[in-house]
Amino acid sequence: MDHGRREDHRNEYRPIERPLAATENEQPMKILRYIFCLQCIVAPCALVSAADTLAIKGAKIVTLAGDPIENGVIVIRDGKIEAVGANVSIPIEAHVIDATGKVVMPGFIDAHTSDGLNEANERNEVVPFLSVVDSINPVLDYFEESRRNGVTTAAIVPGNSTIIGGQAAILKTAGQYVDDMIVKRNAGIKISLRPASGTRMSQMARLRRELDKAKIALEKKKSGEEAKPEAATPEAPKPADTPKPEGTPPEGGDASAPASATPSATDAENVAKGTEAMLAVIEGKLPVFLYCDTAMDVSAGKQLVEEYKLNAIFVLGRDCYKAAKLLSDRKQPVILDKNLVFWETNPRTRKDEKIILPKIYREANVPFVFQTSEGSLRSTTTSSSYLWYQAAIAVKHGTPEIDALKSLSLVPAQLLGIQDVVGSIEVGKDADLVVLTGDPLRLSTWVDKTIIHGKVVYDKSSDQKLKRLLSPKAE
Amino acid sequence: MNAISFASAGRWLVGSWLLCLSVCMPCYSQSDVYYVDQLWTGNGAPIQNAAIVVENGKIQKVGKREQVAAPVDSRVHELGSTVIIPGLVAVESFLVETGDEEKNITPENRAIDGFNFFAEYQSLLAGGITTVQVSPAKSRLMPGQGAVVKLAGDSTAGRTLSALESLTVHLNKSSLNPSTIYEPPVGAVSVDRPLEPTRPQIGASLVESVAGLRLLMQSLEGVRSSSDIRLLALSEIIQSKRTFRMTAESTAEIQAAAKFATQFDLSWMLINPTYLNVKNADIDFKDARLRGIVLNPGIRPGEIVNPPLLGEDVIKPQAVWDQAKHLVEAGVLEKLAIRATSDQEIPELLFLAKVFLRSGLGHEQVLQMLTQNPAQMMGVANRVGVLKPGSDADFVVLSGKPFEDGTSVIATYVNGKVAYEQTASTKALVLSAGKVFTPSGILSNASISMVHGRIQGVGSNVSMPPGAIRKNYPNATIVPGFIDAGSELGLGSPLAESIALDTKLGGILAHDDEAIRFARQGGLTTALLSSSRTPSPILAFKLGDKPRTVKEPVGIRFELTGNVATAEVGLKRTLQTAKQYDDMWKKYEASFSEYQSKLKEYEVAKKKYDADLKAAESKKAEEAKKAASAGTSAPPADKPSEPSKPSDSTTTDPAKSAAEKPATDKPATTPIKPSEQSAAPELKEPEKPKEPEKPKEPEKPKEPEKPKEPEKPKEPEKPKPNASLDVFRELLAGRIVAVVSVDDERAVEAAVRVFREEFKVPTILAGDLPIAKQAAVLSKNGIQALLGPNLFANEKSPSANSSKVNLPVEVAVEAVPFAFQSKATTGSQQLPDAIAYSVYKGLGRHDALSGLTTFPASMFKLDSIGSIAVGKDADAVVLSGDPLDLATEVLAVVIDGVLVYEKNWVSQ
Repeated sequence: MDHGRREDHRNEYRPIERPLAATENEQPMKILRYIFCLQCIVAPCALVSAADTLAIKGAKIVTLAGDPIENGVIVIRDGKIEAVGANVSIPIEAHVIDATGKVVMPGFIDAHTSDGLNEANERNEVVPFLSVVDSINPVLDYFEESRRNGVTTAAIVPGNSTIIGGQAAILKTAGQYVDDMIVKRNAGIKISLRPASGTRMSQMARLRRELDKAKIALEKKKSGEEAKPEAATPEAPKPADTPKPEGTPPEGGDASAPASATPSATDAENVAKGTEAMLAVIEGKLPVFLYCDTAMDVSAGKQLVEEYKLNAIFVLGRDCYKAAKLLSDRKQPVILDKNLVFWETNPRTRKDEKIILPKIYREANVPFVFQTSEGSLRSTTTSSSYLWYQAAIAVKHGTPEIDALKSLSLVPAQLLGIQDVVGSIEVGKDADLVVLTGDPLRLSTWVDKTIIHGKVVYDKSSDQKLKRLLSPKAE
Repeated sequence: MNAISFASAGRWLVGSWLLCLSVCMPCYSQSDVYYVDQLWTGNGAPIQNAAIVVENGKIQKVGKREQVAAPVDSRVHELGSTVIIPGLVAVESFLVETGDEEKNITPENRAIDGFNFFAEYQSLLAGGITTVQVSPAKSRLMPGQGAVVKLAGDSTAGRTLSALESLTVHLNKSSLNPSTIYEPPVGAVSVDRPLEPTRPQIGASLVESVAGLRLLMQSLEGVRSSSDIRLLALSEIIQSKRTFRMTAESTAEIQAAAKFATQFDLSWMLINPTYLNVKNADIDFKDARLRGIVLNPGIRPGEIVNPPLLGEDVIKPQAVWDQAKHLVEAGVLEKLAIRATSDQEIPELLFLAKVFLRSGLGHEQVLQMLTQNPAQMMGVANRVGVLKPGSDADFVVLSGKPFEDGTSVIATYVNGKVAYEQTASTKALVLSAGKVFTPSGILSNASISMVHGRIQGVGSNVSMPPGAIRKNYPNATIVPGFIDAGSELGLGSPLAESIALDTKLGGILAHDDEAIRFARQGGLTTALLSSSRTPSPILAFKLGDKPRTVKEPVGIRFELTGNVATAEVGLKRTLQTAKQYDDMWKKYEASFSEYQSKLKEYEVAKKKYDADLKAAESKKAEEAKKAASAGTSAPPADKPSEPSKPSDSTTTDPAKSAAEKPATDKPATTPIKPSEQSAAPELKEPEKPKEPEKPKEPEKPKEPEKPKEPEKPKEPEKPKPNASLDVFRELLAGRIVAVVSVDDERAVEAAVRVFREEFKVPTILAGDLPIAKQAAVLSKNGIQALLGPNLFANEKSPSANSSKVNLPVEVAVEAVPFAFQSKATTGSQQLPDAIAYSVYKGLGRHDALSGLTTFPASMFKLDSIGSIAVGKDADAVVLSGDPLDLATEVLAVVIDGVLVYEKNWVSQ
């Protein structure tokens, strides 16, 4: 500052505390500045709320909790649905998506998949202490594909080559970190009746053994005794084997028993976790994803459920349709195989017959939902991985349309126990939506946008991969 | 009676009743009652003429037909001459899904987990097996626990008779030398957790196996909270006192098994004791802990394999049937059961069990070893194995007695529902009866096999064609199908129009005609149809659902009724015209054949002529050549010899050999040649010899006269064909017959005159009394008779009592072959009964039967029907007694190998 010059304070910023010179020129300026400061504080908040409010207007909304709303509006705030209806006012700050001529549905739910995991099956067959959360890789193609196909929630479950697999989890299909994606940790445990190694007989024997151990543990707990970790007790001498050091595991024994003489700390932890999980299974608190490969597994599984009072979700392979009638007394829906329509030769008449799974199960009064992962070892490659395509197939063969649509989101949500957060477009539920270009059950429909937690996680117009696939150009 | 309103009212009634029924369907359970010839309960001698009542899948009552009261509203199933046995129980099988189980001792494994309830077990059900025991594996020391299941049924739980029936232990060679076990470690391998070596298992020898088992059992003493899955399973088995199934083949193994069971006080079964010597074995067979001994027949049906030679000093095992006999003598019949040699032979259990009959065991005993005994030893006898009230309705319907050759399973019932049914093959049928009438005599207890509509075999032991339906009528008589030689069946109503003789009626016969179906219930299989406007062709056809023409026309029907003289004249004229036509044709044919032969000759001659012409020309050329080369005498000298020396045919003269050639069929010998030459237009012979007289001239042989061209014979003129008259030609040739209706004796004479004397055609006279009276005339002239529908005629006798003349008798007495006509549609059914009256009144039964079968077949020249012999059409009638007896009824009728009528037919 030049000491000789007269001080010119007109353009200087003056702090609010200092009284303002009541000059006519300075007054409006000061007010402007005042407003400017105010806005600097308030503006970010406004910006934030503008981003968190989403509104979708002009679409036909299939809420699955009532009649579809034509030309409806959904207002989403903070990742939850704030309002749904035909005459809902859109807040000013909302980012509006014009979905005129399109259909909005709750995001589809994949009720059982082993994709999304690093490796679907463990080498060891009895691992109740493991959880898929440790193995999920959010970068995998599966999640991207799910978003592309409108699947917003998926129940990730260990694979089918196991006896007692790890614990399942329900996740949203968008996110960078697994913890952000989890909807429900420990949503179930996987039990497979397909022989992982050896025969079905040995599989069932081992399975029964584990369940019996859990039952004993439960009784002990109930009677107040502490359940001693099994691995700690030196086992009774095995006379049938050649003499070997004490404490070595029995033939085909528990995976929870360690191989070495002294159990390490992690092993004890695992055993404890495993026992805890199995206790929950026996008490019926932890649902069991029971995979049945063939019809005989269905009857065996049913017996197992009755004997041990399991809370079972039946995951059926392709050939289980022969035992469809056995499941007609179950209230809970079953999860069908990806292959809904296929041809088979009848061994008695030697004629080729077309097997239509949705029709068979509907006629046997068994409700069902769909999955997109390859279950049976004998699937064909022509089946579809699109949930809504499977629903369309079901409608083609007689399922009422509304039931098919419900089986895409509402019914699996109820099955998995997450109907409070997802499954239908209702106020208070998570804003997981899929905007379709047309009727969900038409082949010409595409997924236009997928919204998870109120954020658009997939937009067809900016899907480069799809563009390259559909109209390849020389690059 | 207004049929339509009745029907609609009835329909409404039925509909409303069904509606009420469907409403209270759950509470209304219908029972079924089955009537069979023989029923084996599985426990004792069979019941003859038995009945079994089934309700809700369980047996309500079993017993003799008279003693079993079937509930009202039960469905009745008359199964005819079939036999019911209990559903067989396969006492051991390995019908579990296979896998690679390496561990030798796995008592925790349960076969019930590996049995596929949803697989098809048709082949086993077709063999009569309804209950099966499944064992976990056949080649481990202690593979696990077996189960007893049914092969058909509604629910898995309902089909499981015993989920944990026994513990299988194999002490035989199949359990020796198991593989070593490798188990990958849990978690990472490190210095603290080294990789485990593979673990060997016990079972290198019997001693080791038994010692191991003993240790195992002893270690159970202190087991309370073991984590060893096997010990836990084993202790549970011991506590439940489950049976130990021990497979032990050699003597040492059997001893070990017995000692093991005794030491630990186990209830056990001895499986497959090949080397068991009942007399010397140190086993108390009567011990209650020994639940059963399962014997293995050891044969594979239909296969020939080389059994190993054991060496001279090795003690040979006893034959399994002798073992069975000794065990029965030891008083333990109830403990014996028969298993199949392997899983593939299970459907043939009934056949395999026959091998036990070698030792003299009874059929009931062997059947018991397949049914009651296995059920008893496995603890499921309250449900299966024996047909008694309260047990499951699992039974098998056989076409004959069990263990009898040729018996097959007709149907298998599980829980009262058909689980397997033999698909009927319409190609082959085998009838068996107490008496069979054949041309060579009456056979007793014979069978007739019919394949593709023809009789393939007749006799006491005919070969069973595969898939044949067997029908057994033990006290019945089988006769050939009856022929109605003058019926009005076929077109729905009697034919009364005049039809041309060449009309083919076979194409317009009615299908599925109710009248035909009714008529054949009397035993008629073939009918002859003609119009009542004569002359008419006669058609012979089979009375099947689709009537099949046997021959058309079989004859021509004429009438010599009314004014005999005019009728005679008319017939004569007709026949005359026919004869002329016939003669015309015969002449044509004769001249045609003559023309044919002449044409042949002409062609031969023509060929020869052509050849000769060629030869002559070539000769001319040759002569010219020779003349050119200053002909020597040689050639001329040769020439005269040419024609007359056929030996010259050996010369190489091509022309000559060419000339000889036309004489194709005759060897070129001298005597014939000249004649031949004279026959054929040829070279003029005599000229030749003259030739040599001109030596100087180059012997230009006299130009052979241009041979006479043979004349082409003229084709005879073909007469104009007349289809109707063509039929007469057949008659005149004797290939078809003339059937003449006459109504008085002068007509008979006239017919004789016209048909036999003048035109000499095979004649059958149809009528009643006049024919009987003129039977001698018929006999003399070789005429046959066609009697009916009236087989009795009133004759005015001198005693003013009109007596009834038994017409067939009169005719038969004169040895005149006769046939019967009914001149009716549905009335055809009564023809045999009408004849029965005649038989009752004196006609010989054999003659009467011939009049329905063999006589019409021969009279009408129908070779394929009329008797039961190999090669004839399969037409037969099954009667409950003697044929043509009013006391007899028709039990079944077969036409062209198809059972078209059966008494007590349950309509399907």
